[in-house]
Amino acid sequence: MKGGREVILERCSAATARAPLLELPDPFARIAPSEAALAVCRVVKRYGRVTAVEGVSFAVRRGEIFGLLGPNGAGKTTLVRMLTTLTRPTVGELFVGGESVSKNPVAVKKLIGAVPQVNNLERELTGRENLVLHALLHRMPRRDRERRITELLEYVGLAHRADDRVQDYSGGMARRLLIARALLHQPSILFLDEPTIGLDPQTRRKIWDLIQALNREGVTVFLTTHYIEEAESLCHRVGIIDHGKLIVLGTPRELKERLGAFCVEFFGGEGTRRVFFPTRQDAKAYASTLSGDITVRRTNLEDVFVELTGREIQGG
Amino acid sequence: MRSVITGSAVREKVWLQKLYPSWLPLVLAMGLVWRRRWWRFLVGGLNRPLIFLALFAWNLKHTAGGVEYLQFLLPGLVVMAAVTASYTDLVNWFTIRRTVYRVLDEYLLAPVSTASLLAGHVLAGGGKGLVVALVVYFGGWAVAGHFSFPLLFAVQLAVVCLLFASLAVAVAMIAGGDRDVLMFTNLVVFPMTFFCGTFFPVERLPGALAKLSWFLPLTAGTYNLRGLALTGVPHWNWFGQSLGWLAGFYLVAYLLLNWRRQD
Repeated sequence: MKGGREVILERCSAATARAPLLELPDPFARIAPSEAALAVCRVVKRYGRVTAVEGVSFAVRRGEIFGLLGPNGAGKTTLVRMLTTLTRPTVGELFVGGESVSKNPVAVKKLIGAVPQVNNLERELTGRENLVLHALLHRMPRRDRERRITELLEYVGLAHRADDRVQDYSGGMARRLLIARALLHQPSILFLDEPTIGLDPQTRRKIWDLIQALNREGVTVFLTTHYIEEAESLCHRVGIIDHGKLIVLGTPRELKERLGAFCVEFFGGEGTRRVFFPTRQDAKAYASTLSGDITVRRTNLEDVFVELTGREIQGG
Repeated sequence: MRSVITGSAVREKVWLQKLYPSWLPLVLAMGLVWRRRWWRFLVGGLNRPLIFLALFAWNLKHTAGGVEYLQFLLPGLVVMAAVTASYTDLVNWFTIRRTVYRVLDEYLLAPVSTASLLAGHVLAGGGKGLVVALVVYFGGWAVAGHFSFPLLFAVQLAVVCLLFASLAVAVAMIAGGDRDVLMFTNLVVFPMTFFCGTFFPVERLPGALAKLSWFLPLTAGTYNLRGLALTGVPHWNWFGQSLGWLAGFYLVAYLLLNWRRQD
């Protein structure tokens, strides 16, 4: 039986040859149904002749932070929209909290909170009014509503700006309010679509802290991102998606170690080249045989993506 | 210790919780925004009727339909105000919120049915149209006088407002952006406000245009409103036609909203 490294190298060569990628191993093999917060089963989504998602299957454990990593247009948002009942799959089935998304969307809506990529708050309303509107839409009892709004505004650090209109909020403040809104009806699964896109590094770290704190409270987090650092530092497991296909799935460490934990990067005749090794010593030994501008560093998820697809993730 | 995120308080099934309909939060949200910008919406709604009042009423002194032109015109201006305030604002509101700001997603993510979603938008848009149209009517009454205000007038006016609010939702569901909305409004809705007996009797239009105008959704409502305002006598046939148009547009809006929801 082939080891992880062989599998990934096989995929690498397949990607380089622009051949169809190999099928992933059974995505549900390591997750018992009782452990799964959500499951995506052979899902396809087509918009006319464009296929946004092509035969994707995976499951997310309860209590984990799962990241879907991929370039813009890879199909991440479409998957989130399908999981959050906003879009129907063309083929396949999705389950959230044991409920079928297509058969019982109302039950799913009660279980989930969603933070969209764009700020879809009512800009003319204040932060507090936006939360009240959300609570009314979810039919929260008045007593709970008032208490939770006050608590969550404190939690996301917006209590002092609660009565200002959202149009006067900064990007980071709007993002925090979106998170507070998504948590208001006490969901057990939180979907965050590109939660830190367009935010400065400081605000980005604050959002990461918030996401980790939520997860420690027991909330399962499903996030999409095209930031490598975000996926590496936040996620327990990562799925890499490209052109609508899930190409690899595992913990950031597993994915990097399958490739080799250390990378030697150097400028070869055909541009920058990367060679991977299991240990730093092996990498250093190889580097010593080269000349020119050479870097020995830890492998990151960008390397995994490049090796699998032949393209860089950030450039899309 | 109770967690801020997950909470520990058991959510009680309070009977009060079930008391309000699902569409009410949508009406409240739109009402809050409109209340905050009421002057802008009022000025926008009154602007066109006032210009036409100044242009036509004080320059054309002849009679139309057997009555003074000013008296003939005022119900037409009320209809124009109703259409502008209930259709134009809602279609722009909904289109930009669906295509640019994605606010519609927040409503679609809530456990709110398509019927409630539609009812909330139509009632809020139509309600605002009704308020603006009544301001025009009573303002015109103060100037021109001699009008009736039977209950059916208010009901007929509400039907016109809801009809055009339904059309607004339907258009917003298929429009790709504000340019599509502008094109539809300029090609269909704006001409309709002229050819449905608002400024001139439909009978005076050239043959084919007159026949076409009788089949437009606004004509029956305009004629019934004028009859009610001038004589207080209802025309149930016209009222029935308006209700039929409302039912048709509401159904189309529902189907399109449902289609968009499942897309």
